[in-house]
Amino acid sequence: MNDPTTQDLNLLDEAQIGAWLREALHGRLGTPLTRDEPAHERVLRTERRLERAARAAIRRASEALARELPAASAPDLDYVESLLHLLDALRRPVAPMLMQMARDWPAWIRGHEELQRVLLATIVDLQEADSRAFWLEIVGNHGATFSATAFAGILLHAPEAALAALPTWPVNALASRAIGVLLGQKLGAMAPGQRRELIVAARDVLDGCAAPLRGALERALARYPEPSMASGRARPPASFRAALRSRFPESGRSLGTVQSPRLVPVAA
Amino acid sequence: MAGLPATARGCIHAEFAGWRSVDPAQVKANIASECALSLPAFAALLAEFGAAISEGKTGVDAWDVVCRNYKLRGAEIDGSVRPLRAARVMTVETYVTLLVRTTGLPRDAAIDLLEASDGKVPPEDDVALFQATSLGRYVIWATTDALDRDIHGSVPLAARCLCVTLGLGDIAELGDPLVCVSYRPGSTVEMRRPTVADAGKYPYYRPHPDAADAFGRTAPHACRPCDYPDHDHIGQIEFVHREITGEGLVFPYRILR
Repeated sequence: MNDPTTQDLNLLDEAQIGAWLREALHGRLGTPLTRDEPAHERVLRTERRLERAARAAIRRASEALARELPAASAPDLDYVESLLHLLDALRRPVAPMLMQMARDWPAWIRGHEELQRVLLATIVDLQEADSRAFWLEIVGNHGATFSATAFAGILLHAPEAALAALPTWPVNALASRAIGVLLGQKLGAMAPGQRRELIVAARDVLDGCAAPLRGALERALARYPEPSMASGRARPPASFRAALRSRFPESGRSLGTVQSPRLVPVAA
Repeated sequence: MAGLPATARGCIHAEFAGWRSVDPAQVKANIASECALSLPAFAALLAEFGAAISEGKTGVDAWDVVCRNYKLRGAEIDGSVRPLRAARVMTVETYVTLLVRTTGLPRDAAIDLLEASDGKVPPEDDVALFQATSLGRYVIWATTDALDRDIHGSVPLAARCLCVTLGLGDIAELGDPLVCVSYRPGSTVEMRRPTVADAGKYPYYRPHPDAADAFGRTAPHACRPCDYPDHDHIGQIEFVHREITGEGLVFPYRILR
């Protein structure tokens, strides 16, 4: 396929856009800005310049390519990774399908931990509601391997439940760090007055966590001292904390994404 | 080419004759100017390309695939001139994908992580995530402006200026932010002079004409406008090495827009 210009792409029909996207995600179209940029970056760059109809066609085409994945036999793994990042950046509603893939990994992705991680991280960003059971299943099946991503998945919709789960989870050193960073981001995205419940919930689980995780959580909490706690006032009793948790079981707050101009544009 | 069988030579000449549009023509010109790849390796690369053409695989993508077997074959940089500190520039999107695949942070969280420590030394846990994350995939292209200084001292920190100096794509047109990291690669990492095989089909690469130089040199885009018109864009040292983690990262990194 020849490399079409932006103007050409605006004139392509749905099937042609699909064919273009497949080629582009294989890195066969477009000129990269740097030598090693991933293929989806060129697609995103092109997509931003297209007319509305062509952009919509790219979105539909990306979903169609995603639907091919579960039955694929041996797809190019870099292609799959780029497709996942594209689906994530364009916020395509494919989380249920990706979750199904993660429950029963296709043979071609088994053993490719980094790609599995990208797939799971995509599910988090696609913000599928009511995914807590799924993430618990992932931790149950894979131990510490994907625990940071699972934490992020639960943190999205039920932050206190995410924290409550931690003492029972296997967590390695890197995942501990990532979980601390995720908690810090979550707290940073909240208004100061809203942080208290989450801080209380985090402090509640510290004693049950292994040292590396406990340290990471403590460091995240140290960045957001609550005035009343810092001044030595007693923490609310556990029953009160439990009551607070039951009042806000599913906060629905976003993961700690900072509301600032994005470094990487995200589709509206 | 002289050492190749006549049929292979014919195949390759015929194929190259069709590379007339801008990017393939540049790749073809680069191949013609190559002087850093050893003769046996270059001959084997061309022979393999000839075989690929015979099998119906054509165009710069076929060249790119064949090049994969000849990465990191340029001369190793001698210990006496080996840079202690390297720097590399990648797009923010590239670094985000690397962070996601290593740390398991969702993409949004990885973007926030990167943005939070632009120009600052990150907190301990953030540092650990950056250190665990690879600085690139397959072949890492790096530069350095002196043996123990980083690029920050010599090149104005604007994305457009950096792209002009390093001979990258046209950031002014594309608008994507870049991240510039410096790092100590570690003494066990072999550094090599880049070759056309490392560049593959990347059309902005230019082979350094001095065969005796230990390093490659970037070729600044003299014709592009830059935010720093008074800055003298001179070619920077360029070398390649295998994929490594960010264990040797020197903070802070910079995000350039």
